[in-house]
Amino acid sequence: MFEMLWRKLRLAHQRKKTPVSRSRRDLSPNLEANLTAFQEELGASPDLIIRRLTLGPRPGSAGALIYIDGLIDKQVVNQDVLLPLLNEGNWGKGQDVTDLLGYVAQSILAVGEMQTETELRQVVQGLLAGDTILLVDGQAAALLLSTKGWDKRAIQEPEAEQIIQGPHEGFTENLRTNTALLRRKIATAGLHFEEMKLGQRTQTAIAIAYLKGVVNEKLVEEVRLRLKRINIDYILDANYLQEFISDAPFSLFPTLTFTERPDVVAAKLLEGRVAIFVDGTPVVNTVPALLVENFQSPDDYNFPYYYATMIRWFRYLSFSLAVLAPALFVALGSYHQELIPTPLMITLKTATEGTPFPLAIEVVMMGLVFEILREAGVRLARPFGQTISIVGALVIGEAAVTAGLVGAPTIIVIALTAITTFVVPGLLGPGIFLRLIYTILGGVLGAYGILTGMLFTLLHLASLRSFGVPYLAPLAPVIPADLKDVLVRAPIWALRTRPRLIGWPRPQRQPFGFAVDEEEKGEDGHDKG
Amino acid sequence: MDKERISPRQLTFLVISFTIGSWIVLPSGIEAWQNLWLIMFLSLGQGLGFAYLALLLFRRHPGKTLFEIHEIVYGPLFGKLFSLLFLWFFLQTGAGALAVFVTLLKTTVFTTTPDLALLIPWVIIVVYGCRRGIEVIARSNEPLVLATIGLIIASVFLVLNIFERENLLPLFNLPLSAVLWNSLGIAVFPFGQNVLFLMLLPKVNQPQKVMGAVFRGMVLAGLLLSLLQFLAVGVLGKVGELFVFPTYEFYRMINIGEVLTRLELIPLLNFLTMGFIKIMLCVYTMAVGTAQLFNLRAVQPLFFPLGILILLLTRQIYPSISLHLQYIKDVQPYFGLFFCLLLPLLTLGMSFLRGGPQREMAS
Repeated sequence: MFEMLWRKLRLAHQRKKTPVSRSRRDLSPNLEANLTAFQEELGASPDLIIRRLTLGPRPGSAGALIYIDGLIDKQVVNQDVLLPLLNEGNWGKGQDVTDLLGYVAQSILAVGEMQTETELRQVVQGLLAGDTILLVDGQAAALLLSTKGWDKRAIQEPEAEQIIQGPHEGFTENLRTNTALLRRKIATAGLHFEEMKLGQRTQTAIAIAYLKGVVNEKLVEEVRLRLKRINIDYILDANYLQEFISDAPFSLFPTLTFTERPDVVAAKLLEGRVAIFVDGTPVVNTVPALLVENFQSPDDYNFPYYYATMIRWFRYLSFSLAVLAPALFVALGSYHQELIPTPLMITLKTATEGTPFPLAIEVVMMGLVFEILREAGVRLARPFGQTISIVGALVIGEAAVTAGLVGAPTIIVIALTAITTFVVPGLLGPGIFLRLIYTILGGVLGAYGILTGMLFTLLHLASLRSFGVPYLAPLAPVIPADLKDVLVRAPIWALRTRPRLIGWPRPQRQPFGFAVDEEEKGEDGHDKG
Repeated sequence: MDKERISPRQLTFLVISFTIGSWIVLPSGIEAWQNLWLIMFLSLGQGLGFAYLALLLFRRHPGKTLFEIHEIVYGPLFGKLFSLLFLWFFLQTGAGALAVFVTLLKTTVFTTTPDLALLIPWVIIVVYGCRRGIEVIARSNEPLVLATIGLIIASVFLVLNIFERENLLPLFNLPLSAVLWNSLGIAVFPFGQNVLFLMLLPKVNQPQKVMGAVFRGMVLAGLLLSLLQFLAVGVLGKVGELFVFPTYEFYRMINIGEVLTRLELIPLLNFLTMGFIKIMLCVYTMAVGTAQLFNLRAVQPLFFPLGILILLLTRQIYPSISLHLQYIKDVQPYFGLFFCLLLPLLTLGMSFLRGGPQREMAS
C-alpha cells in the first residue's frame, strides 16, 4: 500500500514542471546601468553597500565595489581590496592597459580567490554568497572577489553526541569549517569533495565527501544522481535532504545516519561510505546506513575492546528494554501470570490492587505522559525546568500512585524505559513508536501479539535497503566476517577488513600489524648507536 | 519478482526452518516415542533419498520449477493436473502447520481466545512477508534459525539437573514393522515436505550448490530434532508420549534452583517463528505455483487471497487436534509418500523416457 502511495506521490512530483528559469541577463558595459540592475534585483536593502571609486591611471574610469554588509570580512575588503585600489602608486606601470579588470585582478588586488563573470544572476549569486563585486565602467564583466567572512559559532562538542574520551570537537554551521575539520582527520589526497547548490531560493551549498579508492564508485554516482533529482525551494537542515534521498521514505527507521562528529564521519568514510554535508547545519549524513550503526559509539573505539564490547551489549539490552519492557510487563501481567514467580506475583497484585484501569491502558497512559514530559523538557524555557521536574516527579509519579490511579510497578516500568530510551539516540523515534505498538499488541494478544509485532518489524527491516545495502546486514543476511564489529568490538588490530557490503572495492584496510619491521630495526639500531 | 535470488546458505537455513517447522511441537511417529531420536536418523536417510530423487529432477531441468517440469514432461493438460495435486499438497502442508500452532497457542496460553483472533495476525504476517518476497523471507529467516539453534543447544545445559538416563530405557523395544512405519512417518513429515523447495530452487543464485545446500539443511535439522527429542525423552520418560505437545511440556519441566523456571514461553515463541517461516514458504510457493499454472504475469496479487484461503481452510481441513493426530499417525505416511516419493519418481521416470532435448538443455 505504501509503495502505491509513494508511486503516486512521485508521479505528482514529476508532473510538476520545473520552475521556469529566469531569462539570462548579461552585464552591460555601462556602470550606471549595472548598478541600477543590482538595485532592482536586491531592492533597497540597507545591507547592500555600493562604494564608488575611480580606477586606473588619471583621469581614470568610474568603478564600484559592491558587497553585502555582514557577509564579508571587513578587514579583507578594506586592507586588501580598497587600499590597493585607491593607492595611486599602484597604477604607475599600467599606463596603457585596455583590460582594466584583468590588470586589477593580476597585479593589484591582494585576494587569493577571484573570478570573472559576465552574467548578472551569477554575479548576484556570488554577492549573496559573500563575495565582493568589482565593476568598471566600460567593461561588461564583473570581478568576484572571495571575501567571505561572517560571524560563526566556535567549534564545540556536539550537545547531542557527547563522549567520555576522544576528540571533543564537532561540526559547525559553516560548510568550509566542516570540510576542513574532516581534512584535518584524513590527510590523504584520496579525500574528495564535490559541491553543488540545491534549493531554488536558498541556494544551499551541498558537499559530498568520499575516499577515492575505498568507496564504491557506483555509490557516489547514485548519491550524486539522487541529490540532483531533488527539486525544492529551500534546504535548512540535513533532514530536508534525508527525506528526499532516503530509500524508504515511509519507514520508521532511518536509512541514513546522521552525526555532528568529524571523527565519526572520518571513520565512516574510511569504511567506504559517502558523507553529505549541508551548509548551514552541523548535521552530516552518511550513506549507506545500517541498523547496527545506531548501536555504535565513538567511545567504543576509544576504550579497551573488552570494555567496549560489554558497553555495546548494554546498549543492545537497553534498546530491547526500551522497546519491549512495557509490552512484556503488560503481557505478563494480563496473560501469562503463571510465568511470574509467586512471591513477585503477590507483590505485583497488591501494588495494583484497586487501580481502575486495565494494565495495558495504565502503561500506555503513563507512557504518553512520559513522552509529553520529555517533549516539554526539550521545548521549555530554562527557568521553567524546576517546575516541570517537580510536577513530573511528584504530582504525576508519586501522587498518581498514592491516589490509587496507577500501580507503582507501572511507574517503575515507565521509568526504566525512560532511562533506556536515551541509550540509543539514533533510534529514539522508531523506539517510541515500536514501544507504543508493542504495548498495545501485548495488551491485546499477550506474548503472541508481541511476537507478531516483532516478526512484522523483522520482515520490514529485512526488506529495507540503504543505497543497495541490506539494512539489517550483517545480521540478515548473516555476514560472519562483519560480526566482529557487531556482536563484539574486536581489538582494533583485528578489524582488518571493511564491512563487506560497503567497502568491497577494497576490502582490506591498510597492511596490518604492529609497527613495520624496518622501523623497529631502525629504532634498535639507533639505541645501540 | 523474477530477479529475486537467494544464496545457497539462505536455502540451507530455509530448509532447516521448514523442516523444524511444525514437527518440533507436534512430532510424527509418536508411538515410537522413546526410540524417536534414533529413528530420526533412519528417517533422515529416507528423507535424503527422497530429496536426492527430487534434486535429480531439478538437475535434469535446471532453472525450472516443479510445475514447469510437469508441463514439459506430461504436456500441458496432464502437467497442469499434476501441478494442481501439488498445489493441494502445499495448501495442506501450510494449513496443517497453521492448525498445529494455533492449537498449541489455544491449549497452552490463550484458552479462551477465539481461533480467529489467533489466526488473523498470523495470516497478516504471512501475507506481508510473502509480499516482501522470498529474498526478505530468506534474509529474516537467518537470525531466526540461528536463535533456534542456539536455543536447542542451550537446552542441553538447562536440563542437566532433570535429565535421567533411566528415562531413555527401554530402547530397541519395538518390532521391526513399527520401526519402519514410524520412520516412514517422520521421513514424509517433516523431511519429505521439502519437496516444496522444488518450486524455489530456480531462485538460488548458484545452482551447482543446490544439492549440498539442501542436504546440509536436512541433516542439520535432523540432528537438531534428534537432539531435542533425546533431551525430551530423558526428561519426560515414558509418559512423554501421552502429551500432545511433548516439546512444550519438556520445556515446562526446566527448573534450575527455582530461579530459571517456567521458561516454556521462550521456546514457544521461538518455535512459532519457525512456523511462521514454514507457512510463509507454503503460501509463497502456492502463489508462485498458481501464477505458473494459470500463466499469470504477476504473483503479488495472489498472496492476499491465498492467505485468506489458508485462514478459512485450516479449520475445515484440521477441525480438531485429535483428528490431526489420527491423520498424522494413519494417513500421512501414505499421503506424503505419494507426493514426496511416487510423484517425483514418476516424473523423473517419464522425463528419462522422453529423454532428448532436456538433456541438451541441462548440459
